[in-house]
Amino acid sequence: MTIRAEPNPLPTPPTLIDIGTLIVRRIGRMLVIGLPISALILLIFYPLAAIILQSVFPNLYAAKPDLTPQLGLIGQVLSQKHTYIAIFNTLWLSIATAIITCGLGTFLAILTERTDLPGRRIFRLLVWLVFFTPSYMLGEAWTLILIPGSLPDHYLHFSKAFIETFLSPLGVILVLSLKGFPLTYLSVSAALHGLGSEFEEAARIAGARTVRAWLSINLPLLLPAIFAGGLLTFADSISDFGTAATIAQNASVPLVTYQLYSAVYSSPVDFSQAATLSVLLFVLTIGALFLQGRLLRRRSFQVISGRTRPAHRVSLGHWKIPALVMCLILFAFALFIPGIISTLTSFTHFLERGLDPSNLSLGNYVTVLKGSSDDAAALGRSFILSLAAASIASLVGLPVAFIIRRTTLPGRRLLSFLTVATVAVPGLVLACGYIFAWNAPFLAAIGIGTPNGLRIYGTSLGLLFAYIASGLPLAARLGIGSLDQISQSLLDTARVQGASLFQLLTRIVAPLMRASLVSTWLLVFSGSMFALATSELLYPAGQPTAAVAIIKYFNDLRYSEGMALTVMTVIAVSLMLLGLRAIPWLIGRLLQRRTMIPTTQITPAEAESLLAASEQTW
Amino acid sequence: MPFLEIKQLTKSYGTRTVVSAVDLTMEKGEVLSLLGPSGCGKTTILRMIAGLITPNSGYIRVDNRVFYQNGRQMPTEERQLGMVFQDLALWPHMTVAQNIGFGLTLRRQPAKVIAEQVDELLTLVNLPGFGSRYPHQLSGGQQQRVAVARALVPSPTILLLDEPLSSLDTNLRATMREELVQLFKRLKITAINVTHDQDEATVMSDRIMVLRDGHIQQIGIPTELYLEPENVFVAAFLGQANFLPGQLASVVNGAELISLKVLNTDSAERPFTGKASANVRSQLHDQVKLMCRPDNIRVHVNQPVLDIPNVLSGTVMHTSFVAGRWRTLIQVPGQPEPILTYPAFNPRIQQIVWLELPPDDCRVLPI
Repeated sequence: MTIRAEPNPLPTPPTLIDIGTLIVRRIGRMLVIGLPISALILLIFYPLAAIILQSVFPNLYAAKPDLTPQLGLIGQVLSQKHTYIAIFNTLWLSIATAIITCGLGTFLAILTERTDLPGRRIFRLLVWLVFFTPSYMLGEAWTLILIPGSLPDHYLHFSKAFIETFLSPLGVILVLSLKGFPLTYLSVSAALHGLGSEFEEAARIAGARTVRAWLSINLPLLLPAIFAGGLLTFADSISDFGTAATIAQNASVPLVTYQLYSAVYSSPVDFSQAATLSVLLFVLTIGALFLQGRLLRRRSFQVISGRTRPAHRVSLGHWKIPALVMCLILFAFALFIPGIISTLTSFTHFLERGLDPSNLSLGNYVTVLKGSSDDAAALGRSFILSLAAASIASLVGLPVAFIIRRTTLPGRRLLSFLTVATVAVPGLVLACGYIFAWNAPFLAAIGIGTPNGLRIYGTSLGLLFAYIASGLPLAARLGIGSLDQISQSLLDTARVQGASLFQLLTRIVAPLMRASLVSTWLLVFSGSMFALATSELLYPAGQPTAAVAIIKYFNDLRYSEGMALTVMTVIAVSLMLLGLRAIPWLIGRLLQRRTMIPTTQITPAEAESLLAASEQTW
Repeated sequence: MPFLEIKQLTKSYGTRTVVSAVDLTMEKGEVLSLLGPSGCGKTTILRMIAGLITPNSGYIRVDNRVFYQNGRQMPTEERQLGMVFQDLALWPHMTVAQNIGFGLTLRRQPAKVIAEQVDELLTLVNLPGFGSRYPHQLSGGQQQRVAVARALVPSPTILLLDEPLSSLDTNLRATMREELVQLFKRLKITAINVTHDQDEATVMSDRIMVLRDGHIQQIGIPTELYLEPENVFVAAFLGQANFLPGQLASVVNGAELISLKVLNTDSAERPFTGKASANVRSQLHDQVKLMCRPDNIRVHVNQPVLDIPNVLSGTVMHTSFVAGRWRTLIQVPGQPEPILTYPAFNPRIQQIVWLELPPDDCRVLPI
């Protein structure tokens, strides 16, 4: 038997551990833990701190740094007319959006989760598509539908009154709501998953009819989840830049995000205003999410216990067709009409000449795809940056999640809090922080920002850092969600067998979490591909990304070319999504093995973390 | 020098002490079970040996390597242990062969060596040819065997088993524990097994350590614990037992049998006798308990002749036919608990019977 060790021939004195091994292990441990933490600090916390510092010490980042606090400036900024009008607009539009999405999301969630609505599986899938669509694409599409001379206008001849009615705050609310309802939907459907039929059945046994039972029993139980979803949409809407830069611009509705963008992007540059508005957005977003978190924690999970029976589906009866029509209308507005109009527009030469065959060609696509074109370069740049950002964020997010959940290291609670607090930082705010943080004259002392030194602001590297920073907290939170599903003994066994921390992460944790890692990767990848706010503020001069190029076309009123580039961006992301989802499945098929962990499904825990992280705007 | 040595091992969480000054030595090739109810600290001791929990104080040494001393501890991965977890913890993303060979892969052994060792182990646990399967394709017993095979790689100095059989059904559990003990003996493996199942502990171990609230109650070979328990807890935890509260009536130093007055009976005139456990404080009027296993109690229909010692009378309260015997509860006037017996006949409810507790089968235990 060779398995057993031979007994030690010479008894040596008992030793604790070899010093050399100890040092190597210590260094390895420091690297595995230290690198991700340094990344978090440099890429996220320092830039965010820079905004807060800038708002209090306006001259900190001047050529001659000055630490005189000027709190009065905040008041000055807020008392400017254009600022408070923007704040007022943002607040009331976001509140209205939140209320509308509460209705839309709840309605759809109940229909797909608890009734025999035809095509409910497809609707569930469509919700995810809407969720992934960036708001600037929806905003552009609806502008293209409503402006005078648009394709629909060409055939339907919209009255001036009609156009004025929709190219107004109403249109902004429409786009924000169509973009926002998936958040409420996901919040409510998650709650419905945990809510058994027993309460409703008890009410019916007590004599209540189905509708009555729903209104008096289930709806009150769902209220926290509905409010939580509404708060998510509110947070999402106030920090949304895509709508502000598209339909709100056309409708002349100034919003805070656009104000913030103008403050740093158009001269005279107003850093005080940018910092104040950033802090305002940050505080409002975090506040809404804090409330949302509290609501969900207080959600009556005590009554929502481990349910084994699938909940009973209500038969809609003769309401089936009207319900289906209403859902179709919702998705027509959120997905089909904007998608069709955008695609059609991308084939036209001149928008005002309509769909005349002579006006249609693939010319715009040829331009985009021509290797030498600026568009191809922009798309390629976005693609490479997104690949890098997704890979790095996923790689760094895993150890961060591991440290938070599976170690007893000091400071892990702080780390956890910081990832929660930053998961929802609006992309615009983060980008603003990068401008302050990496432009600081005092960094020149350590060679950052000097002509020969390391340049972060205004370079692709800075943009990459910002993409990573947007994705990292999300990657960490998603990682925590899936790490929680791995039994501790699977990890303990590996350690007993002699695996070091690094081996544990690469050989056991990462393979077990591969489904979640793929999801995280895709989320960060698509987020970066579609990232508008961060890109607008941070792209290197003369090197726009796809989103920047799209908005530039839009602002130059070159809608057809812009739409061709939009469609190409969507195709690039979709191919990546399909590819990454299909490859593991295909390999599994080839090897004729049933894969243990399905990579094509989103687990409930993942969906929950996605939801918690979904207000991320890039 | 013993193979394993644990001295004054203590672990507390805040003010709650879960393991209190435990001492233990083991010889090479010995199998020891840590037995006790849940929360007695048995798993904590095991995890401290594994290095998965850091002790507050104490000393742990296995072979010639110190695992823990004065706050310094060897990392788990350095300890060369094998461990089988309650949930088996087979990695679902690896095949059986990959699971078993993991420890060797970490040590960068050549693929050929790994394959040979894995095959050898699979044969050893009666699973030849199962290497390419995934854990979910195996039955519970097969998964169990894979977990054990994995824990035997590469040459652990000591094998730690954390309730390894508790996830199996009753029949399989009985088969597996015999299979395991044969394997351990064949390979001369030193193992510590944590369990709350007295049968499992008795079948699998050379010695058993009974724990309660983090304190050692008794260590010994299984028969010793059953026949000569040192306190009421051990007596009750291993097998069934009846206890009669009493008071020492006479103390004869050096005598094997001591006499006591069973409380609330007329035994003042004819004191009961039993074997004294080592730790009974031989003071007159000390409170004690007389322990007698149900199997040793003789049940008489008629009052026995006068010169038989240790006789009580009582009323049959309940009887049921369990595993071929009449499990019968008899209420003795003045006793807080009914007495459990297995009479050789089928008693009637409310029947008056006489119980004879042979002095050689009775033990006097401290309270």
